Amino acid sequence: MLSELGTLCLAMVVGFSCAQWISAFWGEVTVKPRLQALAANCARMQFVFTTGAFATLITAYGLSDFSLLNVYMNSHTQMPLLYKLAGAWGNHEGSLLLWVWVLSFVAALMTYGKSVDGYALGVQGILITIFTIFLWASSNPFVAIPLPPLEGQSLNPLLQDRGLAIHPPFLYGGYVGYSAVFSLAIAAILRGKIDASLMRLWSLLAWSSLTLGIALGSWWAYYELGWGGYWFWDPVENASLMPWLCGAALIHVIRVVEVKGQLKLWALTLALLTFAFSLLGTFLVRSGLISSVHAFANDPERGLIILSILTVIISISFVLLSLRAYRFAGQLPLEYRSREGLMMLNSLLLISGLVTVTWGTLYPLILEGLTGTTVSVGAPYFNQTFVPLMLPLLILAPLGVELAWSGWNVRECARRLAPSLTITCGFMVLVLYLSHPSSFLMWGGLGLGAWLVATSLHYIWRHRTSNMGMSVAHMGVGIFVLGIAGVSLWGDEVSGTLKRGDNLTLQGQTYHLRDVVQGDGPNYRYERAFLEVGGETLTPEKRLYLPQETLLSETAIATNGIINVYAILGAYQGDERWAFKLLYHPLVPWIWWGWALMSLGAVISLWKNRRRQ
Amino acid sequence: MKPKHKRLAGLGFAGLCLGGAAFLILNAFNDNLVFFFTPSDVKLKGITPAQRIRIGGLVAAGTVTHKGDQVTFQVTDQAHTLHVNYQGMLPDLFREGQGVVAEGYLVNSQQFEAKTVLAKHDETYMPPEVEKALKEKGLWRHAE
Repeated sequence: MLSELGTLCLAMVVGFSCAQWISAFWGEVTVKPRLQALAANCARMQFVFTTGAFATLITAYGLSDFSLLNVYMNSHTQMPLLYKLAGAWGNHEGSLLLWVWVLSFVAALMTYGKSVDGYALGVQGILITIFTIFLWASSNPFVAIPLPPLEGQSLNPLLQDRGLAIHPPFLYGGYVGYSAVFSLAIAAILRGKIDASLMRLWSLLAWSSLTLGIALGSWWAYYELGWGGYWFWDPVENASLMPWLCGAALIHVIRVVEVKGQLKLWALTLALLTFAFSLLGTFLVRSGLISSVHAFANDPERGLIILSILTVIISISFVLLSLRAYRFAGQLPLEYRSREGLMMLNSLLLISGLVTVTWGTLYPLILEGLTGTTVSVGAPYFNQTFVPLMLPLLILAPLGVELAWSGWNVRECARRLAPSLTITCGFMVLVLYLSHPSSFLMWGGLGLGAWLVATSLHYIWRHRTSNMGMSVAHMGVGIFVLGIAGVSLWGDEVSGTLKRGDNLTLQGQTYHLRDVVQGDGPNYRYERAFLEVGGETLTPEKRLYLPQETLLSETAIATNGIINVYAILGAYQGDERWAFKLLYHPLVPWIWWGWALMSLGAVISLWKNRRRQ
Repeated sequence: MKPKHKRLAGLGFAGLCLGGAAFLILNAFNDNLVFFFTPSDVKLKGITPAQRIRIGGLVAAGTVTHKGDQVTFQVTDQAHTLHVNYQGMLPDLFREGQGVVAEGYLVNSQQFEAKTVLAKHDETYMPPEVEKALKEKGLWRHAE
């Protein structure tokens, strides 16, 4: 029954979204308010039905209804309820349904506000129709099995995790949130004028969500994959970074459009590009082309269809842009030595960085497609290309903050930045003296982080809550950089084979292995070690998940917000001895606090500007 | 400066930025592309020990030996075999008879020193490059 209900909801969504874009465009072109109101109502109705579809799927998972193929493939009666529900979007079909749901939610949100943009609503409706039909035709989560089995195949244990459970909603909030920006951009192109404030609000919302989504993914990788790494330049990670970089450029450029009315064409280009990268990311992850711990293992046919959809949508939008570009041509040249000039430079550097990441991610795929040679591009490439481009960006950011719109006064800026510069230099000298850093780059990174934090705090001190979002976000970047530099410069590790009663020493602390026990969890069997240090106990585990018989490590992390100690239980060595690894990670929590602050900053800006709509 | 010159200067600078990016890319590329080979490829092509490469295949059954922190195993594509030496913790999903990808340096034509052994994300997963290579040799079998 749930299968029929779900499919029915999907059909209604297609119907209402079609009605939505037909009435939206017709209403806009013929200027009939009743049609425009109809479009808004259709938008809300299709949201009701996507919610219905999604609720149906979640219910099926909650009830362990194995008559649905999707539930059978990805769930198990003994899984904890949270992971049963999260399993709804932990697979290709379910996550695509989540994708469509967010698309639909965005459309519903677009119907509120002082003035509803009919063209934007129409474009959004077209997107919903296309993706719902794609979902229905190629990845229907409601496919039924004639004779329901009694037990499911369970969810990949790597996904049975809190962090990964909420990672997709935030990530898709970002990816799909940019559909609103895309729709507004197309609407602007069709109209010949941009509603920059509205576009900025949506950009901030989408970017904020995407930032959190990426942060959650990185945090999950850190504690779950067992190596203490937080970013691997994995193609799937890059797939989320690319729209993020583009979106970061967009939120700055759209502000220039809002304040100065300049850089309109660039803003529209970025708006279209960001959504293009979102779609590209969706394609990459689901295409089965990527070898990764994280990719959905899928058939290339689906990937090809998404690629075709992507190509069509992007081509049409850029053709439209070029046809109407003349309407957005700037009258006045940009004043380079000003805030808007630096914002332009900001977007240039971000896009250059984006180019390096895109190339590094796509090159192996292209090469393999053309010549059949398998090649991989790892961290060293990205460190040599992306990082040098980000350095001038971060150094100049506080300058951009201090500069006025339309022109600058060198002496004034220098005066305002001097205290922070002094503090930063003092800090760097202190580090040099106390710690003898082994890497020039990372020492520079500490300085850079300190520079961003100091300038942001100084700005808040002087300007209180004005432009608070900007200060918080920039401070977040600084804290993030400090985190990376800290763990790189001062990180340490120790490995050893221990039997009960043995000790390991790391950074002056002694870790005592009290005991190793075995036991049963809800759907796994575990082997748990008890490492005592100071007053605390770390309990790293190895788990054997049923029914897949998959072995997984659960690391144990002790943190005080500034330093993490990370314990991994390794393989049994025989003779009542186990392998252990302990990692000492100073400042690593700041990596995710930094991301969180960036997201918060965007939300603050969003909140303070919402009254305008 | 005249507006036209300003615009030109601006575009020139933008070109410089992108050119800088391109330069960095080309620079980094030479050293950082890691090619993938099967044990047969290693035997047939002369690969210098200095290159960082990836090898992949199936973990030959009965060849995994632990020696303290080090572990040795053999990787095979049913035609040829490479001995691999690795220092560190193996990923949980590493198993005999399953696909594996290791990145590191060739010590000689028989011996490989792995710096990283790649984890798979579930026990039925076969890294695409390994799958492709096995399929090409007609040695592909569906795992149970």
